[in-house]
Amino acid sequence: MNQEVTILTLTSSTQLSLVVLFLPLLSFVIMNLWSKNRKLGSYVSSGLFFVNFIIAVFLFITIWNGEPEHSRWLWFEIGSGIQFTSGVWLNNLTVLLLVLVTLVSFMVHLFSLEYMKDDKAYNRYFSFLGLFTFSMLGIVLSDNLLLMFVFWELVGFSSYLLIGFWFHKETAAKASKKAFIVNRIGDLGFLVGLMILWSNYNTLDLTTLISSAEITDPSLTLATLCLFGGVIGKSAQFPLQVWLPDAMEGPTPVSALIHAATMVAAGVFLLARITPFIPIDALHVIALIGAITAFMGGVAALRQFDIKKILAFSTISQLGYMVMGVGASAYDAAIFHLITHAFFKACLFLSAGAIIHSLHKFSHDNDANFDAQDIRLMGGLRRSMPFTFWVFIVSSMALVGVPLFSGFLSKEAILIASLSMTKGWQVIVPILGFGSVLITAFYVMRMLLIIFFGENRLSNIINTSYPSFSKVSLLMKIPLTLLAFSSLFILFSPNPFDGSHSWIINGLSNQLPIEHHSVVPAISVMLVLLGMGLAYAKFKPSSKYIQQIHSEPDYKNLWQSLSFNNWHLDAIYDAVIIRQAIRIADGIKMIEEKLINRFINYFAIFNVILAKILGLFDRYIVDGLVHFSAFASNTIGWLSKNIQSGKAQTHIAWAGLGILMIIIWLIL
Amino acid sequence: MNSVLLSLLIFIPLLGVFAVLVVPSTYKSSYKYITLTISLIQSILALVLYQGFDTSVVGVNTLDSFQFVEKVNWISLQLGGFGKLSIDYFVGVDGISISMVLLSILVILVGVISSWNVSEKAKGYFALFLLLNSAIIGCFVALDFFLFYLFFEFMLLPMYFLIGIWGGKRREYASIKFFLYTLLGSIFILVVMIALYISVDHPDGGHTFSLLSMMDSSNYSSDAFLSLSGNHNILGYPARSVAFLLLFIGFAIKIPAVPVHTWLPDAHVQAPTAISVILAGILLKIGGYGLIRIAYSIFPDAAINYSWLVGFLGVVSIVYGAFNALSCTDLKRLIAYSSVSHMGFVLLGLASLTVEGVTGSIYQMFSHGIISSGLFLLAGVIYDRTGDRLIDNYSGLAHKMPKYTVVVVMLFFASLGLPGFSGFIAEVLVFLGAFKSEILPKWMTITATLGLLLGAAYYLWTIQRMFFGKYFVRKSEWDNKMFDLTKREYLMFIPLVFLALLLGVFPHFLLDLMNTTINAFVEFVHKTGIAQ
Repeated sequence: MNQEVTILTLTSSTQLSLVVLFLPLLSFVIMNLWSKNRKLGSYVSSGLFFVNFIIAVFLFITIWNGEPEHSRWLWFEIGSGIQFTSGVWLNNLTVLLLVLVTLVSFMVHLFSLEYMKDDKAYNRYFSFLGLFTFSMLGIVLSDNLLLMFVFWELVGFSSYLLIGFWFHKETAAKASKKAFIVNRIGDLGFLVGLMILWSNYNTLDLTTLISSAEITDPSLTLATLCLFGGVIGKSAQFPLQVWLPDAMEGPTPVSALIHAATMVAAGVFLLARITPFIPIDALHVIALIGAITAFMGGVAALRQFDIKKILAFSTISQLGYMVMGVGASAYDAAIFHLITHAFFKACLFLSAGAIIHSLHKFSHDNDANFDAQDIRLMGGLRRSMPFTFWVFIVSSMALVGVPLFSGFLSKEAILIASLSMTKGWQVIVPILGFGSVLITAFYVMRMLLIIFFGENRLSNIINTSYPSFSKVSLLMKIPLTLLAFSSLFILFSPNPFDGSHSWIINGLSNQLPIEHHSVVPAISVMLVLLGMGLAYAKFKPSSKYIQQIHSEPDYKNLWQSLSFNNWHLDAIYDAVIIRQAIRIADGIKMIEEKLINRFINYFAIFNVILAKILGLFDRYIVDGLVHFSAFASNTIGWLSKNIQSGKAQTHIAWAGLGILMIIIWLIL
Repeated sequence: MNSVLLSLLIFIPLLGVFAVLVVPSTYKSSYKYITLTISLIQSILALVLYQGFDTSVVGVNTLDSFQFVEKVNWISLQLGGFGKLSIDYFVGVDGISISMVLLSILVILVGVISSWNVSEKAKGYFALFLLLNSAIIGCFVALDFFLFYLFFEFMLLPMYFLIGIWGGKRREYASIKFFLYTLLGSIFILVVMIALYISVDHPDGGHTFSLLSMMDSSNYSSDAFLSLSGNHNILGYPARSVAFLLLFIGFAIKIPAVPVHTWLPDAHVQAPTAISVILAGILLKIGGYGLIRIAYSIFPDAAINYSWLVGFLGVVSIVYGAFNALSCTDLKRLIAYSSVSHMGFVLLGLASLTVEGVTGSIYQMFSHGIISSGLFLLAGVIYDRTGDRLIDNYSGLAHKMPKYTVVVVMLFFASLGLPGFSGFIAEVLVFLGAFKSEILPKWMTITATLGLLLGAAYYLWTIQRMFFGKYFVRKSEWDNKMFDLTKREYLMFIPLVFLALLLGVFPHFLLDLMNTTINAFVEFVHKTGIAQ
């Protein structure tokens, strides 16, 4: 009845992968124990992450395009022989993600050494980063869904800690709570998916499921869609994408690591892992959700003024692309986009971090109070921060999908795959996919023009001569340079116009490589040009809009309000879910107090009254009887005293009477 | 040594009671040392018990499935036509009860440490505490129904006084409510006990209170009141079903399951910290333990028929308790309602009657014992400092009490089922088992997952309001009382957090103890239950 689980011994590679897994945990422990020494501790932890990256690269070289390695051992056992295992499964997908996660983590560490320098809780920050990376690597390495769920939740927990890192800020505290709870809604789906698989297949082991699941089994559609619920939460898909913009309350390097490159990508990774047993109906739903998310995220990014919010919505949109890719049966393209996106989006976030860092420092040094993330107050940063400008441009172009940049290759692959969905309603998937290309080009161009071109607008609100910003330090430059370089095509494909022969696609898919398509790139390049052109017309430095932008309100009409407020999803959820939940809670409290407790109290009062009545009964009836009997016996005694008067005749007479009465009694 | 181990565990605290009573009140600071010594001795004996326990012993319904057995004829009365009344002193442990015994000893030890500052009427307090200690252990190891009932009632009394004398402002109300509720439950159990006694024949003639004999269908004569052929009806319902439901109500009050739970929040809010810890950590488990050991094992046929009801009340408790916790303003009340919610998983897992579900159910009892003890201690920390537990009266405590905040975050997350802590293993097993079960409809399990979401909501909301944000306390005189955890407080939390983590990462430490017993239990219930 139970699946016999074979134990697979450790190999040198799987052992090494365990080292990769536990080094970040070690960093977490060290940073907690070593909370006294700031400098040394952080360098030790960054060193550990560097070592980790090197080992990951070594593993990558060993495993990539070679034999997958799988080790599995018993975790615990219940009853007689129902086994829960844990294990490490190294294949191309695993080692690719391993390198990505360790690299971006290391980059973010380097960047944070400078960025968080003045923070009081410096060591706490690095310890949380360690915990997060540990959990993320756990998801990547796990060979079964239960273990993956374990790390999945831990990722949620460490993300909670990092978003709420500046817990003294009310907004950060709320955002961390929101992120965890919204993620948990999706995780309930994940859990139900686990329950369905367990009751049908008695195992949660990935390789066993892949080999034994019948793809035609209708319960499998349900199970995989439930698992997809977890993806909707973690990868910020519609309708649960509301937590990600708020998560920007965390330190910016955290946004780069967690809310761009790794944690949010975990959902796409999970889909890629289970893709062999996702039935086609479920894939269609997944593609649709992805396309809707790509579109909604893009639209929401159009009217943001907070630089991190723009990037957050852009992340949602790009994650939508990846999910759409998996849904269009091209998980290889999706993972390709995951990798390229991780680099260029991390680069964008970190350069945004560099800008925010400088502006924040400026506001601090000049005793000026303004929002360091508001792009309405930026402008002209091209001249004052040339280095940041260039890395930002490079990564933006990758995001838009301009030829010669990495994003172009991977996005084309997804768009080509989406063309396979043209039957009936499915056609909406490619339409939304291509539409979002236009939107992306538009909002990225808008962001670039407002931030980097024209004149600096700070002087409009504070009395200062032209502000001079501090230089970006070397510790920040190294990661930015590396990540910007990774946003070029050269790392991924020798041909800058064709991603279908990229080594990533070749390494992941066991199907024939995606056919080269020339129409799709042509259309999308046209869309990109159109979007950028439109944005330029509206936001060019000389335009009236830009001249007035420092006093621009958040939104002026319904459409702007829709975009600025992310389709009003927060307001809708607040009205439909949160208020209702609180009303139910209040209602249940009423039931508790007014119904159950009142019943208990009345029951108690009833008992008291009953007791009183019994008491009265006792006093007047029972006691009365006692008194009466006492009285009676007294009287009888008096009577009998008279009876026993010593007179024999009366004695006999009374005895006769007594006998008579007894006889009468017996007769009656 | 082995043969008297359980008796030692039960009676050493009773010696302590005498010691406390004998030592004059002028030396009242010695009472806590006496109590602590007793607890430490028990802990050592618990280690011996753990070491000597053979995990390969199979079975749940026969004498050889129990270890450390002691059986002595205790009361033997010739009652004329009624036959011989015989009651045995009959104790022993199997995989299910040993985990409960170990849990009790640990929680009691923590309870002693948290009672360290009790100085008001110390003599009475520690004497009652030790009496409670003795009754708890006895309850978990008794294999004679009468003996079980005796210990069960003996827990009630000290608890009543401990809440009623050392409690908060509305202690009388709370203690009487607690007493009446549990007494009601006891009466139901008593009725069934007597009915069982007259139905079950002793192999050597007469009747018996032995739980093991009651589990064996061959001991019921065919015309017995609770015989398995089920000829007897009560108000039109089969007698065995009625008896099972009476037992269920009796133990459901103890667990507590909605709607017979309302004694719990009041008792917890009024009880002193250490008593809350024991109440949540151990006493609630007697309800679950009683269901497994008595209701399910003696009436497997009725159990299979009515498991949907048990599971349903479990789900109701999970969701209803969680919603109630969401609207709480008092930290301790919130934790009390979270207990209602989490004990619902015990019912749900047990009702599934699958190996996964029952394992999860017992694991949840152990895990909840550790974690909820910690949670009530946390509420006690803040109450000790200010005498106030209203969530709205505090904000940003993380600034002033960072270590306290770390422990709060850890235990709150442990309680809301974060992997890495024991609660996760328990809840996942319950979910897997309940969903797989053919007895429970699928919607029940899916509804129960709401408990996880609501758990996250009420805990994180509390953290956000009390610990994050700007520092604020309602009254300025509290300001200098907001010091961080003391050494003694650390001492209470460390073993609890450590165990919650250990059992979350390496569940086999606990599972190995109970696997064979649970397997036998599930097989036994299915086999004898369906055979009827």
